[in-house]
Amino acid sequence: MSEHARVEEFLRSFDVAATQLPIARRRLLRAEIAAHLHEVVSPEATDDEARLALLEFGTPVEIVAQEGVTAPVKARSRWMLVAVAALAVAAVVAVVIVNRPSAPTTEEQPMTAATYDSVVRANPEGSERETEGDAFRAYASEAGQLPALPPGAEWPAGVQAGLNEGLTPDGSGVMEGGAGVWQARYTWLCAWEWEYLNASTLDDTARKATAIEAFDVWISSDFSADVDPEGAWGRSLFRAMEERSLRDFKIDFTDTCMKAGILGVQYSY
Amino acid sequence: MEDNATATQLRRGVAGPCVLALLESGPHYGLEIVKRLDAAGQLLTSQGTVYPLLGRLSDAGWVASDWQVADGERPRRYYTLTDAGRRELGAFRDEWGRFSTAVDSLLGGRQEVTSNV
Repeated sequence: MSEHARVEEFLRSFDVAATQLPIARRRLLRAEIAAHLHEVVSPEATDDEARLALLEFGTPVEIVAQEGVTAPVKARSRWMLVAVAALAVAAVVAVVIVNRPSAPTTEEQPMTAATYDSVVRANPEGSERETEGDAFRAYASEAGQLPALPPGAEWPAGVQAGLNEGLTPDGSGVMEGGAGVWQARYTWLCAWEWEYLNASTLDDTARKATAIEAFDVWISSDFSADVDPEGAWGRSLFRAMEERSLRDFKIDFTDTCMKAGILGVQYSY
Repeated sequence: MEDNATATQLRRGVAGPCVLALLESGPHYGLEIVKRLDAAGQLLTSQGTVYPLLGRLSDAGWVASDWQVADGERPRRYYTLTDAGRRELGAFRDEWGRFSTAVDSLLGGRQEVTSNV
């Protein structure tokens, strides 16, 4: 039965991560994971759809690590102990200073090939792009002023088609001014949110901390103060990160990337 | 914010009994359980961790499982609550009742004091 390439890749990674498990347990766990992923990732899913589904699922290392908690709870009071003991666990977030490599100037369009996977790349899946017009020039100018994208991300080579005319993609609405500028800002944020999600699933503390620093840059920016004067967005984002469930964060990520035209074609700024 | 992190840890601690409670209504397979836990309020850190959790419940003898195949569908492993699991769930419910009552008495009391200030 054919599977999506991302699922096959995941299962190969699982095989590597699970080598320490007893063979019977490994086989059962693999079969259940394969059945689960078969249902949530169709072979026809786009690459980004598959990657988002796998983010929800967790990494092979994360799942196998749960198998390390081997001793089944014998006494019923242990459940309560687990629940209460968990209250003592606190999250620790380290912060490192984000580097600021030179931002790309989209006037000189050529983009280098991605060195890491990112949804923000020269030709993202979201929609067709165009590389001329006022909206594009505004986008290119803003991209040149924003801090660096995360490693592996690159500025899409153009703005969404229709943005120059100030029209929504289906021509049914008129965009407000500054659409090119905002497309650049949301593209930058989309790239960093994707970076944080990936770093979280890999439990890469340094990468997570760098992404958090990037969010601080966004929250403290003048334009963020204009659109989020109460700071509600920033609080909700950091609350989602501290809860570490990532669900709310993923919802925000999807919204941000749709506004940037990276995922789908909906935008509303 | 610290309270939210605490709540997340607490949810993690009760995921096992919640799975037992889900199975009280009948057999379910992994993806169904994940969806129900998600709908109830993010009781898993990530979807895939439900399978190690089910493995631990199985090792404890609280759930039983077997593969079932429907026409044209991929085999699914269905989990069923055992008698031992039913007893465990009942015991947890009793303990949780006492525990939550004790916590409510403190948190509720604090709220009352605050509202009177």
